[in-house]
Amino acid sequence: MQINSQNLFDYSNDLIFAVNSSRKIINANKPALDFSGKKKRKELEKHLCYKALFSRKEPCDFCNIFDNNAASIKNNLNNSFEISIEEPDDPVGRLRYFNIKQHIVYDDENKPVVIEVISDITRYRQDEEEYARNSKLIALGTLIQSVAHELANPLTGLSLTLQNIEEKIDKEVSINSDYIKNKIRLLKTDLKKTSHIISDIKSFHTKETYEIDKIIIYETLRESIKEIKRIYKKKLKIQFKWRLGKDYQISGNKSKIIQVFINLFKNSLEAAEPESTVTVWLIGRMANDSKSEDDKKFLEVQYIDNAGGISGDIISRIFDPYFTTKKGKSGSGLGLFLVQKILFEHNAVIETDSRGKHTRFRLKFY
Amino acid sequence: MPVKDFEDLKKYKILIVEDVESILLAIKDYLMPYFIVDATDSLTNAEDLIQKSIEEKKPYDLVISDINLSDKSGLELVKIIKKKNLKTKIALITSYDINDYIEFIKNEEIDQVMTKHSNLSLHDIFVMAYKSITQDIFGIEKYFNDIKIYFPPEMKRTIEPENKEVYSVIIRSMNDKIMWTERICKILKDKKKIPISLSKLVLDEITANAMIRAPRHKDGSYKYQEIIEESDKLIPHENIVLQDEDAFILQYGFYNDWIILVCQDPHGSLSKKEILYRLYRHTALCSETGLPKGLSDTHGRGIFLLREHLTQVIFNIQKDKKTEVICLYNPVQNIPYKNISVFQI
Repeated sequence: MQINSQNLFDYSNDLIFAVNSSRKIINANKPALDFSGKKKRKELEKHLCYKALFSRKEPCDFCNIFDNNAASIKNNLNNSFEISIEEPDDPVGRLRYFNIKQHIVYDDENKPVVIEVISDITRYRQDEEEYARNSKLIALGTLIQSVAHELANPLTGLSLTLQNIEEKIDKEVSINSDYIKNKIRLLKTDLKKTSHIISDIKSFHTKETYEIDKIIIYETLRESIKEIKRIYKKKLKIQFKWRLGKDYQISGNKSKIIQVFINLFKNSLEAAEPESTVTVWLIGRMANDSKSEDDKKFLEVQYIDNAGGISGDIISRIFDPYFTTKKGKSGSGLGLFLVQKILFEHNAVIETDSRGKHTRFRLKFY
Repeated sequence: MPVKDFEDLKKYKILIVEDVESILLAIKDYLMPYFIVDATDSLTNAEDLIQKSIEEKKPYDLVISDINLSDKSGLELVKIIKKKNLKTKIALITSYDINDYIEFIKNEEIDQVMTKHSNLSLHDIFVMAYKSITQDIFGIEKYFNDIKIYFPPEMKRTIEPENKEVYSVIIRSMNDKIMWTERICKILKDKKKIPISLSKLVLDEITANAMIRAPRHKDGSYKYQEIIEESDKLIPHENIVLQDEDAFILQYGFYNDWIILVCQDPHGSLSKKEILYRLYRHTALCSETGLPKGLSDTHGRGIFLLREHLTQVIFNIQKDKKTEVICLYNPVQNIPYKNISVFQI
């Protein structure tokens, strides 16, 4: 058997077809033919792509590569996007996900032709969803464990203090009022701690709803810096470098993003030796992950401080709730947990590494 | 335990290290009438106090430390004390799962770890301190005030103890063991609705140790079980009748919501090291398989199961002389994590 390009074409799992400027199919591979439900390639060729392939009367909503008025192809457009459609016979209306790539090539007569590749990425999306669900469950498990531990301290304190008082009464020892006053103070402290822990859990698990708008991230960062400088005055030096358009927008909630950066600043300041000055480098740039298959770019904000660094044995725990190294001073152990939670809700992730006295957080807004 | 017995405890020194103020002060207040007590909320201060006590040639007899301190881990304090070669006993308290520290506990041979929860009793902390320091370790009466313990000649005609009573029986044969296991299981079921399977599991385990594993000839071979060479298994003899010197005591009773089962044998064959090792094998996960090593055989599973099922298990051991395993079960008390409590003299 002679192997020609048509054979190669047909062996792909993706739907591949070529369309001319009037949206008529020039060629299609076997998966595309199977998908259309037609038996012969001739039934596809020279037919309108949306009719023959998708049984639609109108062009597909997502497709914007054709200029409808001029019956031509918009130049210099290489599209790559995702669509989801409801599974036709699925009782619960599950979605199927497709990645669609449209490339413009030119034929012998130098006429533009659109090569369209449609990949079914449902499986990939489902895996991703499952991963997100599992991550949430793991996070919940960690939270429950931390809460159980956190509650054990004040509860034990309450119980032992009461045993003290009970013992004194049992022994009929005369109890002086200062002793009782001090024990009441301790009971109150433990009670307060208990109720704090409970209100913390509530705030995590009643899903907070907040407005998502287009926000100009550069301005949001400027405001965060202003706010933190107002609180901490001179102890903080910030080197702010912005390597993309100052009008770059992301979808999010401004005050929540400000909260993220204030928490990061506070974290640096509280980690540093008292009276020392902390320098923070804040860098905004477009980046791409070597891991992801397409070179999709995203906004990365790097936050680097020189507040002492994080040792390797605890770096994996710094986002855990109630994890703190701040010597019983101000640290609740919830700052970075909150940062991660807000970013999670913004479809962003935070990664961290540390060398010497420097710690770097990379906030990736996808 | 009446207070008047403890006049001479005043010579012993205890250091408490705990960063929750109420817990620190509660333990301190409770122990103060009996011992010389110092208390601090940080490991740095604890180190200074220990150093000072050495310089004054009056080191602490016992250090009770929280594991998760605000400045450093209480585990570091253990290392510091061991490094200084002090005879100081160490007891840890924690609100975390002890099982997370099981490897450290095994390696450093920590014999007392208490977990923090709302049922933790100051009296139990006192008993732990008293036993660790004085080496007077045996007896269930230390844990329960005004409990009455009856031995065979004094026992009433009934075999059913009232509240705050513990009955003792002497086991001389396999038949004795079977008969008393059945009786005790029935009493616990009738009086406290304890499932027979649970009582039987506990009684089988503690008596198997006293009857089959502990008694040995002078050359170290087992008296009442055989090794089957081909399968490397130990099979107990049938219809065992114990020699007089191997007879052991089984105690059972109640104290309010507590169910008490105790086994005392005259061998003292268990050791702190072995108990901690057995718990470790069944608790710590092997890095290769992700499962506890103990799963591959049954060695030491009994001790692990006792601890899992009961509210508290206390081992009192006088090497080659006496072993006492105290099993305490309180169906009303739900304790998140179990203590480790092994006293060896």
